[in-house]
Amino acid sequence: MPLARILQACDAAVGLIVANWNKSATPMDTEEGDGVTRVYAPPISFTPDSPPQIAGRQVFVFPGPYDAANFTRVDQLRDYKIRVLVVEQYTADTDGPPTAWIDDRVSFCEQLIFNPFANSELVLFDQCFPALEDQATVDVLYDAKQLLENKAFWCEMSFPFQEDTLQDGSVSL
Amino acid sequence: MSGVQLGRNSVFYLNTGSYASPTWSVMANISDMTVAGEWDGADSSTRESVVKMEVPTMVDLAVSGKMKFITDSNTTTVVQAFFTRAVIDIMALNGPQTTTGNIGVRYPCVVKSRNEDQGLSVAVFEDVKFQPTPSASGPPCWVQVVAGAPVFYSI
Repeated sequence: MPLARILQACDAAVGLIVANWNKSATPMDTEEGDGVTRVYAPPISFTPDSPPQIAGRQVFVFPGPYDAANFTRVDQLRDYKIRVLVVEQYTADTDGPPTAWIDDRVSFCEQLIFNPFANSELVLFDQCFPALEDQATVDVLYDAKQLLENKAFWCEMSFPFQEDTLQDGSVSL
Repeated sequence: MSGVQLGRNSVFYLNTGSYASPTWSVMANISDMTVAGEWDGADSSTRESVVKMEVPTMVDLAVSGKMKFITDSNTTTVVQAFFTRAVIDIMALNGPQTTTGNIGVRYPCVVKSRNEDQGLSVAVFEDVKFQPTPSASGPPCWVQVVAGAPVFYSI
C-alpha cells in the first residue's frame, strides 16, 4: 500500500527542512543530536529522570488533519495540514538560556522553516502547494514556561498545503 | 447515490463540429453551474377568477457558472468568444448525453459576461454567462436523452 499523501507531504517537508538546514551557516549536527523526523507522538523529556532526554535541536514534523472539497466536476482540492515542532534544551552549565541563544532559535524557525514553507511558489512534492486561502502560522513562537522551567526552546508552526486530485483522491501528474 | 441526481455529474458540452452534425466535447473544468428557466408572462387575468393568470411569452434559458481557467482549446474558445462576440454552440445537461432521461438545453450563444477573480489567494475561475443568440445555423432547443442519445426539441 502506498504511503498516505499526508505522510508523503510530511516526508517531503522533512527533506526540505534538512536541505535548508544543511545549506545554512550552522548545518545540522547529528553528533550533537540534531534531527528532523516525521513523528506521531515523540517522547520529549527534559530531565535525565525520564529518558531519553532530548539532545540537540529536534525538528518534529507531524501529519495533521486533512479534508477534501469539490473543485470542479471532476477534481477535488485536498487540504493537508502539516505541523512542525522545534525543540531544543539549553545545556550549558550556566544560568540561562541567554537572549542570544533564544534569538538564534527564533531566527532558525523563521528563516529555515517558516519562510520557505510560507512561500506560495513552493512546490512541496508533485503538485502539492501552500494552501490558497489558509495561511501558514507560527502558533507558539516560544513557550515561556518551557524556557523558565526546562531551559527549553519550544516553537510550534502549522503549514496548510493543497493539491488538486481526482474525485477518488488519485493524483493526475 | 441511488435516486439522487448529483449536480457534480451534470455535463457541459461545447460543440466543436457543426450545428447539424455536432461533436460534443465535455468541459470538465466546470464547478458550479445553473441553467436558468423562467418564462415572462402576459397578464391574462379576467373577472372570471380571482386567480392571477398569465400566458407565457418569452423564456430565459441562459446558462451561467464557474469555469476553472486552464489553457485547453475549449476554455480558450469560450474566453475568446467573449472578446470576439463569436457564436458558439453549447449543451448543458443534468447528466451525460448517453444516459436516457437526462435533460437540458442546447443553443447557439454568445458569452455575455466573463468575470475573473484574480485575487492573491484564489484559483482563477471564470464566472461566465452563456446567452442564446440568433443564429442561422439553428434555434435554441431543449434536450432530452432518448435511447442513449440527445434529442433536440424546439421551444
